[in-house]
Amino acid sequence: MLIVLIRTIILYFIIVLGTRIMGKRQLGELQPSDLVITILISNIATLPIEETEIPLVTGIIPILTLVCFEVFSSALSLKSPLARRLISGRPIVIIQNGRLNQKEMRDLRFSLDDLMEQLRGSGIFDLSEVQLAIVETTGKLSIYQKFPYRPATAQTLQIPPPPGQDNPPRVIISDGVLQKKALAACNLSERWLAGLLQAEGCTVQEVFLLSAGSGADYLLVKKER
Amino acid sequence: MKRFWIALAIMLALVTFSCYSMLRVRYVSHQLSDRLDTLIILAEEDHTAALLESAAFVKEWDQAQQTLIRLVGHAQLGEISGLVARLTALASHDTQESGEFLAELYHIRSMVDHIWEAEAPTLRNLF
Repeated sequence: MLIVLIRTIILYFIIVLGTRIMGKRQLGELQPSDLVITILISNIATLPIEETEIPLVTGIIPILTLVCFEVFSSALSLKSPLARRLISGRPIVIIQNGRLNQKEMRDLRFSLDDLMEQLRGSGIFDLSEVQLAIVETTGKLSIYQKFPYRPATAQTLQIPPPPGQDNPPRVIISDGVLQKKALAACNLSERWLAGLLQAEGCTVQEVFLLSAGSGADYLLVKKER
Repeated sequence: MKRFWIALAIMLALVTFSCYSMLRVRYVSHQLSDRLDTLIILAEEDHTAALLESAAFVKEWDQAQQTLIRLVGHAQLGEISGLVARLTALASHDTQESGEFLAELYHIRSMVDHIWEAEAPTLRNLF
């Protein structure tokens, strides 16, 4: 049993390392090759954990090999559009100028139920509101609505932006630790921070969360005792 | 591109390690096979020498197993260990048992040869 425990820990770190090497692609939406790699790695990892008679390298070598090949194929996809198309496929337009492309839907085996489900997931219940819809290589549907149905933006309403709204708020203090880069990114000084903390009656270590924007508006949550 | 170079370095390390382990298995199994060949000849000619040699082979197998256990399935090695454990006892009996002793030696030899045959990167093993 101890062998199983130790092997599990070793393989866990190898898989985490492998996921870090493969990069954020694995953690976001999966391309077909990413999905294959993820499934393969998870299956291979269980073999030396369940079967202690198999050497541990029998699990480590294929996992790391798959990780390396995933990095190579993604690097190749980056350089070569043909490789990208071969490995990941290409996005397919299934609604163009408000009209359904039934041939493409048949080729994709993308049923009307699948389409309506994805539209409803995006808050669209009427097909006539859609100008353009594209099935991405991950299988996700990207939707561009017709002008009358698009959410109003500040630009369309001609609302001038209030000052300091160009950058989003950032986490300045996270669980008692000051993030100096975030403070600098918001163009806020440590003197401002010291003044704020004094007004709130706490120190950096007593703050669970402090987020602030470049307009010096902030949200502070103290640690619970 | 940093990840690409890291992956390339890991791949090179994996290829190097795989080649090294394959050569190691080959070396160890060939060494054991040669020892077994010697033991087979002695079993047919000089029973006393065969007894001494079989005791030495048991020790050599224990050492070889330490290397092979990291690279080869344990079930296969366990089977060979079971057979090797009988050798000294078989060799120490009188000549009427030498037939069984010889058979056991050939059996072990075929299993030791199979260790390398199963690990060799041949088309038969790949497919």
